[in-house]
Amino acid sequence: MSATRREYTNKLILKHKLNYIYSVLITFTAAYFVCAVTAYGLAVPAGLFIPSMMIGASMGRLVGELLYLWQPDVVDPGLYALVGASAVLGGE
Amino acid sequence: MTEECEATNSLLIHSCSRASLKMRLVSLRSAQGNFNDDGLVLFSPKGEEDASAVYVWWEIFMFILIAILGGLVGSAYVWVNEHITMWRKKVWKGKHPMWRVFEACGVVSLIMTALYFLPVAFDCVEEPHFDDASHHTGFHGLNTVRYTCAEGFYNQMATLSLTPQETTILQLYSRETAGFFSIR
Repeated sequence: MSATRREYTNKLILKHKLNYIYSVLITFTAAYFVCAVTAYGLAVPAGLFIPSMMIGASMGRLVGELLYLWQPDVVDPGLYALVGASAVLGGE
Repeated sequence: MTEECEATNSLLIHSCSRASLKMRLVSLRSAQGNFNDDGLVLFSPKGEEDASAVYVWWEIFMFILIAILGGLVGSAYVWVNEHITMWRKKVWKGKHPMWRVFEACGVVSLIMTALYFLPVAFDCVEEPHFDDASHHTGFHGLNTVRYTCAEGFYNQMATLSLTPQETTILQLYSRETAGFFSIR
């Protein structure tokens, strides 16, 4: 990660660190889960594969972002998103 | 009851083991080129040339944690889908097929409205400007959505919910973008 990008990221996290009330990823994961479950089974062509990947990726990214607060030099949340997506697909 | 519990336990173990295996395969595939002389995957501190393919030892436990969580979420997703589908069958049994069309229109309108207005609850965030144009896989790869934000700002929730699914997945996978869909 370049110094410029890391500086920006740290600034962004510090700015919002005290505002732990809600998170974009938690809301998105929950909302998408409910929407995907509701939409599947309607009389329209739809699948489970991409929604599962979305749910898993956002869940994994959330874990990655939380770990990033702890170990910013090691953790890359993008990788955790990939692992999360494969995990949810594996669970089906 | 006992049979149901046994079936559930078996399903959970099956799901978790499959998820762990898939996760492990992904990790191994990502780590190609990082094998040491003994043919084992090398877990070493980051900071080398290709840091994205090198891991530290404790990350494997986090991957296992995600695999278990993901396996359970995947199983829950299928279980809920199954029950909703059975409920739908009961509800629409003997009714005119046109009701299914009305149902689809109603549910899709509801979902689209909810997803469209969901970003209203989230603040605008300043778009970062990086001078290092060489990082094509970083933030430059993200397709931000301004929504109601002013020029130079973007809405994180709109960036996730109002873009095509494939784009959203790519954005979630994007490397070196920690903090962009984070605790707000």
